[in-house]
Amino acid sequence: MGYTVLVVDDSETIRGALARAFGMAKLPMDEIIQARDGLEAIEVLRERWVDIVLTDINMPRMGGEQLVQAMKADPAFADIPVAVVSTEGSQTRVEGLRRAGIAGYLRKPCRPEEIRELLHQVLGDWK
Amino acid sequence: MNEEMRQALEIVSIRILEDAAFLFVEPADEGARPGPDWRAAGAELRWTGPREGTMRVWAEPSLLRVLSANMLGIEEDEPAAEAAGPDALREILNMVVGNCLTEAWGPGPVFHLEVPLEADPDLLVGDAEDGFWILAEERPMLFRCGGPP
Amino acid sequence: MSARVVVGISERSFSTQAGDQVVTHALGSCVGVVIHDPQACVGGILHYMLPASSLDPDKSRTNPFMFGDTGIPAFFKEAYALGAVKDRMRVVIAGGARVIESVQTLDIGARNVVIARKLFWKNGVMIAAEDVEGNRPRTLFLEVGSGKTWFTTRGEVFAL
Repeated sequence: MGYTVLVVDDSETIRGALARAFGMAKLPMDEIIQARDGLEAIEVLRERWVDIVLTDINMPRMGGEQLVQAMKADPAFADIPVAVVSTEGSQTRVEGLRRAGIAGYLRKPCRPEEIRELLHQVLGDWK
Repeated sequence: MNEEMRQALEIVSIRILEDAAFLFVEPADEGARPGPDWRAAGAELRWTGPREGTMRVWAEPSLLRVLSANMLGIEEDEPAAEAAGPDALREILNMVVGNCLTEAWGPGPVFHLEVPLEADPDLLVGDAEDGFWILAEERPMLFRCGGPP
Repeated sequence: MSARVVVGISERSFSTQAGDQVVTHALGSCVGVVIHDPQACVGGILHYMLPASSLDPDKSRTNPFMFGDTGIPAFFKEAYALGAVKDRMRVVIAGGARVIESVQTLDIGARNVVIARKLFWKNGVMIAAEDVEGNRPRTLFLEVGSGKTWFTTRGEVFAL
């Protein structure tokens, strides 16, 4: 039994790199689902079981902040942990995201070791 | 180019290219800059907030493939590296702008970064005049930061 | 009987004896890479000086361990040949200091670290612990039996 991870980022390079880092971290995974923006992510969440969401902030159509707000406002998704992986450096915005209920935050560029640490922080130990 | 952003660029661009794409980077002196027939692909990112601006980055297509291959951890001759090159350049720009804004103005202000887009090739000639040149893996790369368009 | 295996500059050494200690001195801008597999009881240190063999292809043929891009793959292959298994290995890096403070000088230490990260990322190797860059010289130690890794600098000891 592994995790189903939803990765939300408009960059295919970042989605690919994150998937590689999950494998290196030996995260037990059933599936990695990819979405290009917040709206696509919401569609996935309506149709699929997801254990954790990793999302960017600046994306077309619906960004990460709106995605977090939409998830926290919907009882069906409110308990799914969301971690933000973004270039965002504004403390004000990151604190706002933390108040909105994100489970973790990592600034790009990030190393695979930092991604593993973020996953441990959100999901606990898996060994 | 805005002086705060230029100084930030000098520090940030090299660090981002090293950290995100494992490239060896150094500032390019005038002799190392390419001539007017230089062919490059560009990406552009605009931001709004307490200060508004635009940054563009230009690099030759062969370097784009190196960027994406390194970021994805694959070989340069794999088709996925070729396909992801322009996306990798846009994402590098995204990281450079995000980190430059914090470097220049601190962690307080909230900026809104738009989605990075392909740059209009006609803008390359003007950008080459007053942009910031570096050498990444001994190949030229150009950043140009300006006010709102 | 326990022994101390000393790794020189542009060299690598392994031990499969639980009582042994592997050590490398004078890591300035050079990088030291530790590999340890507790189950196979294999431990080693590589001490490379420069990032890329393109700087001197002739030298890289006679001594691949001088350069990160040729030394790291060769070092890992030797570890596998001794019985180490990638999934069990603990990998640690140290060094890559900026020894000379000058804007004009290329930061070889930083590049030595970049090449290690690049190769590890491409080959799916996670770094378990690291202490890199800055401006302090380091001496790196590995205890083969326990896998304990540490470095010393200016009289202080730090676990890795």
